[in-house]
Amino acid sequence: MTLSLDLEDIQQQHAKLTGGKALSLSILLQKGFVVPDGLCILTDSYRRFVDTSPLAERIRLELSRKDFQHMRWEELWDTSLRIRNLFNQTPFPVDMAEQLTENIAAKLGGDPVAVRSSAIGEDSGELSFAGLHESILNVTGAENILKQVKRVWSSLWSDAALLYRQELGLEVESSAMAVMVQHFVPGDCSGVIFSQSPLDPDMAVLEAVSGLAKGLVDGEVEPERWNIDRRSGQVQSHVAPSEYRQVVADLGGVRTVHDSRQRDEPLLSNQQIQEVYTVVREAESLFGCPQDMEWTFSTGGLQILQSRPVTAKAEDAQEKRVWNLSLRRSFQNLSELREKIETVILPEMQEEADRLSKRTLKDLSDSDLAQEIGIRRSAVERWTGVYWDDLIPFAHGMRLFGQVYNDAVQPQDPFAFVALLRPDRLESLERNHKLHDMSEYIRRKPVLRNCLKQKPLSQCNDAILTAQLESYLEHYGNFLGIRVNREEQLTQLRILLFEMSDPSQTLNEEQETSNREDLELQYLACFEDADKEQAKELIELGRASYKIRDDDNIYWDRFKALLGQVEELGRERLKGRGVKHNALSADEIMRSLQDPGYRPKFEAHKKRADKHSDVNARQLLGQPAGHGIASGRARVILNPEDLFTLKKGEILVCDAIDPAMTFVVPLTAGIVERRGGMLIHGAIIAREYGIPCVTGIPDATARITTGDRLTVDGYLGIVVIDSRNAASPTV
Amino acid sequence: MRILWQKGEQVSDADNKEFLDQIEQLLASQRVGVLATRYQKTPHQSLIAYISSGDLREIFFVSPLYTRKVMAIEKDPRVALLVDSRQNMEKDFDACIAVTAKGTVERLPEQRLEPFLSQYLDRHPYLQEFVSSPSCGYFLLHVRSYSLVSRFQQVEELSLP
Repeated sequence: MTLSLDLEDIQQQHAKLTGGKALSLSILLQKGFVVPDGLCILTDSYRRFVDTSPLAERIRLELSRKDFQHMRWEELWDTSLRIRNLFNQTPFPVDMAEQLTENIAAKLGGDPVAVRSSAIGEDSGELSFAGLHESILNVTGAENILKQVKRVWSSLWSDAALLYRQELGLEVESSAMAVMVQHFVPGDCSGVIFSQSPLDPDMAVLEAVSGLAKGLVDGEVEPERWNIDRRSGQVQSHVAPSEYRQVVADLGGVRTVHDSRQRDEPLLSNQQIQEVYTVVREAESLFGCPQDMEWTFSTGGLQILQSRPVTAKAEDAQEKRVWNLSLRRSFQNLSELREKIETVILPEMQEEADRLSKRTLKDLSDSDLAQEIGIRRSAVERWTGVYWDDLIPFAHGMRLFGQVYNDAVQPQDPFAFVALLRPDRLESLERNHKLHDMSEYIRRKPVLRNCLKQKPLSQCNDAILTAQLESYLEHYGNFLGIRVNREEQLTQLRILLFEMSDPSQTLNEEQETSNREDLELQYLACFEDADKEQAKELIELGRASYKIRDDDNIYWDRFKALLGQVEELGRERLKGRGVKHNALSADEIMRSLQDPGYRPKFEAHKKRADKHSDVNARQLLGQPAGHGIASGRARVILNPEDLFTLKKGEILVCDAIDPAMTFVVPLTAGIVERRGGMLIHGAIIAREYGIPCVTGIPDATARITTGDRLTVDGYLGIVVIDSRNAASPTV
Repeated sequence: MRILWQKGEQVSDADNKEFLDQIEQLLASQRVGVLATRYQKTPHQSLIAYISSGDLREIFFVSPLYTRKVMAIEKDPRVALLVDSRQNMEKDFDACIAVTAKGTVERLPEQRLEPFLSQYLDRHPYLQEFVSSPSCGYFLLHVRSYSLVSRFQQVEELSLP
């Protein structure tokens, strides 16, 4: 079997073996354009690699874990990470590795190389799927090159590619990827040129950055831009970037650094602009359609890195997938986001929440109260926007670290890295410690506990506990943002603490963190001394991402609680006017407060999810998100109030755990969650407590009934339901 | 129905050899069979990935522990395993052969897993993660008899000594 072809030997009939990118470069090379020399590892090599190992079936098993239509982006990312790890773990057949090493050495010697994807159909047809697959620059050493070839192969199954699986026709049987291994060109300046702008057919667009084009392609470095009139070939306008940075070759890879050149100095001379423009127009003539070309200037002059047809983007900008893809951020971008979150967003959230919580509400007139509801609702809406725009994307820091960790350490468990991210302090765990302390206090006082079973706290005459509860509610706000008054909050807390303080039960406690240091040493040992600092920076970024993913929800929940507080007060006042309905929306409350003659409309109660058919589930498959096995009665959470009915040793079954809900985790034996993902809050908190957890079970709360006997297999991601042995739910 | 091999007889008989070869080939050609158990007086069937020993006396399989089939085996270890060569085509009616192995299942402790586990992974390498899970158990079916159905309705049976 031919495993690779030299670039100059590729012909049109090899298209299905080389992919479009390699074929285009080969045609350009053969027509005299300057292209970095190299070879293409054919799709047959990919096929042989996956078919002569268990890889093909293992990929199929991963992909069949859940219907793609029901997968969230996080789950696609998890699937992709697992597949990436499978490639990492699978060795090359010995003869294949030998032959490829020989071919690469014969063509490229020992020079640094670029390892680039060239997937079938990636850049052809009417849609462009550029950027779905990986390219790795500045790679040296035969062993390392082959390792990076596997990494590029695995990107055939990248999270982004899986998002477009249907359009790409991505199937284990029929999909394959070729890989180009070329001389690495350490460009002084590089960029992209569209011979015809997708927005204006009379214009060409040239974009350039200092250093490598990777900075521009990955969206990490803002380019300098020239718009060129296709009719005259003259520059019509020039746009300088707002900041200057560049991606440069560094030991064993690339790095983003500050670009020290002068701001008034254009990156390209007129002659260079014309040179690039002439080359792209010639390529357009050669291929018969406008070209999107990546180029670089180095000591060897202008070289073409790739050229493909200018196509319409596959995405509709309104589509959810576009937002999903925007979550893939670079280290640089995430570092900047971290600074913004830590120094601006979270302090502002805290400051605003503190300020709002200090307002005296009882003396407000009805009209002022309506205004206050409006202010708080705006705050919730504003911070919700920030949550989606900045806080959720920052969660990608964990994922970025996970990828680097897995590439370096190559662990059996692709999620082993999560143990390294655990910070010293999590806001939701702090809150649980306070609950734990209060329950311990009650546990030591049987008379007090007995009183709490029957009577409100105010009648149990315990000043210490009363003070602790007041302080707790002050600090953490309303539970879950449920529309209840303070008296009801105290009742809920009393029920919870009564259950937690049961002397016959032991509460779940957090796991020790002893292996974190070992894992860190093991991870750092995989890097050369010169790269260790960057590896450490990445751990810090991952840890910050892990922590903020938890804390941000707590802060965000405070705003929801603050809004709930004024809405509740509004409802109380309206009751005085005879409007006795708890389901009034904020709008209706505001309007009613401002206009005493207004008759408010009520929101219909949401109907509870019923079992969706007569078909009973006996065993459901999800993702194994927290190791261990637990059996117990199901407690299905359909409304936030249901959390307070949970008994020690029950299995929590819910739609999605958010940090506000984790106060019940010390009581649960296991967790089953509809929302899927290994790095979602439920999975993180389950691992913190060492509780078996299965996530990503569609309709979990509809298919499982409170009282069903469940076994949660947190190793395999299986939930076994024994409804025949179901108990009547205890409330 | 022919009884080819009674308890205490030697296996050297040519008929027996042909019969056993057919079973061996079928078990080797397939990866998955249907395990029949009994749970709370009700029949229950599950697909399992298996390997069989060279002497056809043992069939090894792996299952998550918290499943109906394992609960059934714990209550009543007598099982039947059906393996067949169906291709879901018309010719199945004459060309398909089906073997049922009957016997009792034993759960294997860790120290007795080899060589079964490594042979199992040679046959089903994609199940590495599955078999490594602490929530899986390892089971050995001690075969007492085989029955072989071929040519639509021909049924032959062999009891192992």
